[in-house]
Amino acid sequence: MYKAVDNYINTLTTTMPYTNNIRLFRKAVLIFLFCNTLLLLSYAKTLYGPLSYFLPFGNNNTLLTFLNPLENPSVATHWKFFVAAQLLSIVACWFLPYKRLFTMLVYFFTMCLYHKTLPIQNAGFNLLVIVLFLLIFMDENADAVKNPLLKTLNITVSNFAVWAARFQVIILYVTASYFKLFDETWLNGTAFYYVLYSDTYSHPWFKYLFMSSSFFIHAITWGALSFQLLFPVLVWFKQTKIPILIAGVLLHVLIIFVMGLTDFGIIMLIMYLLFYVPKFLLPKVVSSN
Amino acid sequence: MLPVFSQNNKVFAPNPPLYNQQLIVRYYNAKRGWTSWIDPGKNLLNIRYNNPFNVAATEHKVHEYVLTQIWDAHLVAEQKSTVDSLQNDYLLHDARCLMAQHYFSDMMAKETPRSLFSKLQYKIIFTYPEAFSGKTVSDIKATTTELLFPEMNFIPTHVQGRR
Repeated sequence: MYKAVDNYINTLTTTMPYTNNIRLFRKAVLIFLFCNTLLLLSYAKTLYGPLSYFLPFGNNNTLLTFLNPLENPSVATHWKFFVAAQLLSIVACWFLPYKRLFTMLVYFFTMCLYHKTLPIQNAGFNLLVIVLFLLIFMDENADAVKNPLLKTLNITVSNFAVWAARFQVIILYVTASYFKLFDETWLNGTAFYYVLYSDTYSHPWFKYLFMSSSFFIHAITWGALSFQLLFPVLVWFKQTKIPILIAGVLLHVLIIFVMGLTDFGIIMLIMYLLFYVPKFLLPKVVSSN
Repeated sequence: MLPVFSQNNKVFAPNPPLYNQQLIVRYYNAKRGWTSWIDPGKNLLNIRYNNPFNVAATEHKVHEYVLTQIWDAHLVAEQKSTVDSLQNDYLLHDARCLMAQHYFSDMMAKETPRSLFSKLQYKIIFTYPEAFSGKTVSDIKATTTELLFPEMNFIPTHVQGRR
């Protein structure tokens, strides 16, 4: 037992088992943020500008004020700077060295835009900004440091950042499944009926096709609940990791196209890269670095 | 002392909405009177149904945000007084309702820049479906609750030349 723990600590402090995960995850996050900001460009002035409809939070937290400068109308007049800076930081982070520095800039400008639009964000973006902070500490080239002490420190910090990010995903599923166990509609298997009834979280095609199907409604409701209960356990075993991740991909694709929670679905799919890198993506990751 | 970083994990576990909600609006013109009720959210949703990656999905989130804000304002107004006129007086000066006033004024000003409207009024409609019993959508019985907000001036001061 002690030997196993000792071996594990050695592995985490001296080896880089997550290099490919970090490389691919960083690229996926950057692509997502870049496309998301570009997609919102036509509506950006309404979202981030001084005449935005979002009412101020009025918090007294200095750090949050620092990360939410766009709440100040005089700063918000320069919203184009923040949008452009985020896009440029992403490009720099992709093409230039100093990944940590540019990831910090991406984090800062993303947080500025995120905080301004907080009232319309969902759990996906909430998770993304937490993990984006952890991404600052992840380093796919942590073992390139020459100083042995710094090298060990760098590898350890990078590996623990990956574990912390994974832990966030696990917390998400544990919390989601735990609170669902107190909701009657999830327990009696009709939660998806109410989701489909809501215009906001459904799609007419699915609504008219499946809303009267007792089997479908119960299967999706209990299937989603079972998945969220099982994911935190099954994702750690080799035999069950791939099946549970495939189930997760199906669930989140369903969330994208049926519930219309596009950003949430995509972010969750990106998070899975922290657990597994598909083989078909490996050559691309290696060749691009 | 407040924590610098706080994390509310309950955000990852939203309960399913037990009702359908709509925020609709109508406008008043001195010559033509009130328009019929318009449902801007429905138009945005129709775009999103066809393409979930369209910016209309985010525009709809803003629309839902306005709905939740004025719903909150209504709840506060109800707590302050049981008299309708006093509630309306509170709502006419509440920041959330004023924001909705700008939102709907801007919306119409963008669609028809030369519109001669002088007033607007919005309302929320909640539709509660019956419990699940395997019925088709058209057969599901539902109860409806409407919340009519006071008439407000048409002031498109927030128009932000997009599109």
